[in-house]
Amino acid sequence: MTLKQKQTVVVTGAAGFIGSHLSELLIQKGYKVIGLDNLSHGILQNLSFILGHSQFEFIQGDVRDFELLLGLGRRVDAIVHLAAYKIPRYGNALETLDVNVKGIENVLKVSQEVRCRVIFASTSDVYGKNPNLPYSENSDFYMGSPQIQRWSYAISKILGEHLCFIYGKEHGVPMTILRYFGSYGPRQNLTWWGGPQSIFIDCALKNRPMPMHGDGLQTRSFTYIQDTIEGSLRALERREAIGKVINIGNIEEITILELGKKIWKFVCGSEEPQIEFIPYRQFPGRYEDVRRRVPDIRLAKEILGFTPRASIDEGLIPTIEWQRGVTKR
Amino acid sequence: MGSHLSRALLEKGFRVVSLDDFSHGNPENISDSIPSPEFTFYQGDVLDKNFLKEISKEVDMIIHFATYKIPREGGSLKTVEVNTKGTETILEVAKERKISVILGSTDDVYGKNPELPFSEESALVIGNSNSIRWSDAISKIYSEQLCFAYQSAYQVPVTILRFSIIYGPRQRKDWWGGPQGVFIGKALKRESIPIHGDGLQIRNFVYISDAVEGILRLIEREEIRGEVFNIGSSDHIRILDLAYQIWSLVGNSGKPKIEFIAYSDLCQDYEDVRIRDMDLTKARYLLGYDPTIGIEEGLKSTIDWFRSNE
Repeated sequence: MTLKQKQTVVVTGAAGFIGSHLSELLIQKGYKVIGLDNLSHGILQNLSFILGHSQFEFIQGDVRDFELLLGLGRRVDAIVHLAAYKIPRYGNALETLDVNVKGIENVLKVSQEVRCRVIFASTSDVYGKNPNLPYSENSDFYMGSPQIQRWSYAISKILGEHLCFIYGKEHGVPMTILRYFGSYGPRQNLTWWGGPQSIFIDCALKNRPMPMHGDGLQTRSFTYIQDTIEGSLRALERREAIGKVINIGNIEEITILELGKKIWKFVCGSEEPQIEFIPYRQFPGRYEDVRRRVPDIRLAKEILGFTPRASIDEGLIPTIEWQRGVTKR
Repeated sequence: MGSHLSRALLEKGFRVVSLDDFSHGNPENISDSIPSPEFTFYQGDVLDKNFLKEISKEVDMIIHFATYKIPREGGSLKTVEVNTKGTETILEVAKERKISVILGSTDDVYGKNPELPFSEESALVIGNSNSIRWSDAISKIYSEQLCFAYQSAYQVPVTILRFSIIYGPRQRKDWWGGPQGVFIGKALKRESIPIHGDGLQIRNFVYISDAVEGILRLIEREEIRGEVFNIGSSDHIRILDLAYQIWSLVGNSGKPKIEFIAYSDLCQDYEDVRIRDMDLTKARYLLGYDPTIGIEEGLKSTIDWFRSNE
């Protein structure tokens, strides 16, 4: 069931960061796209390049609305399910657990009826505190206490993955799970929701101290948005990806502190960066950070023929330029 | 466990409203509680919110033990649905009725964590999502998170009890009830005993009356809510030794014939956990929990019950 051009794809969370870029890429590649978003976090502005395009249709709606999703499902060949809540530390653990599980459950039920292809966006956060790096798709998940809300995001995604495999095995749903490792780029959300880059760039542009959680020596592997959507497109198009879970990420590892310094240098030149360290204990409730996070991306290469191309420098520069533009406005 | 707890609550002077769909429970288990005027039983489904709301009109607390547990039997979808949606329904009702919830969870949430013993703060380490072996654990981990999310959003007081293997009279005689039930059944018939893997895995067993005592202590200490507790015992036993012990306790001579079952026959990518050992410090300190029935004494009572209920 390899997707051919001229087929129709529903992208949930289409007005979000990844969703809007992926929708554009799909249209560029000849697909028809139905973008679904409840605009809780996504914004229509993200879709400004394709709103009004003959191959694009936008529908404002909630992924928890099964009838709506089923109606769309009947018209399409695939659903790429990106819509999700992600930061429970701002007190929305319940919404995170609810939206993330019911969303994918509805998508899978629709596919069970209409047999469309399903791509489920999961996260590197499922590997949690696992100390054994790099993370291959078979690595264990290390979660923390239920009294720490931070884990509700990862746990909701793990349960979503289980539902994918269960519907795959028990009902033949052709699904693929993608575990994204920290995407960034133009249109990223300008709060922590979008990751640390946007916050750091904003501070550097305004010449304010960059807030650094903990000691800043935790590392992450950030993936430039063009790479994220390229990997996603290939997963959608390749039959070999069906029934698989695949890491989509860059293996270039960087400490959050280095990231901050780099951004400051790109924005402000050589002048000394301003940094404000924020201890975790200042977060509401209890919090646990993950020290390092690096993907093993051999499977993506093997199955999708995909390796991310953009280095952190190559990705940061257009991201900064974009953010400079929106900050001026 | 539900039937034992109900009876213990009645003896303490509580009123008990109980619910079971009899998918795995047995009406005979509550025959000693039925005559009590303080006991009301409803047959129904934990996913039926309106029904649950109706029967919990005059209730102060919901103790939620209804659960599915073996994804390799009867489908993972059912396991995940009953466990996650059951908990959600209970929490919704508790939110509307402004009452507290005790959730029965499992030591399986600690999964493959190699650091022993498991304290309530230990990491929950589970294997990859493509093995349905972890569906039960993740459905419980999700339910636990959901409890605290409701507590945080709607001030529903919640407590999580992570049980090790509970055994005793009225336990199920199949794998659902744990290995000891299967072993006793086979030993009584002098048949070979089936063991998953090499039998060298270690498990923690707690006798039913001890587990019930732990729950009662929690119920009575109303000031303790919003916590997670391990409820187990100091009896951790190799499964193979358990088989030998049961064989001799039923009065059989010699050694049992063991039928080893490969994990690959259980389900795809089955991963067993080698050692499960619980740290009971928190329950001992905060609840005064103190399991007293040793494995030999507990097994004898369980075997007696099996004999009189063949």
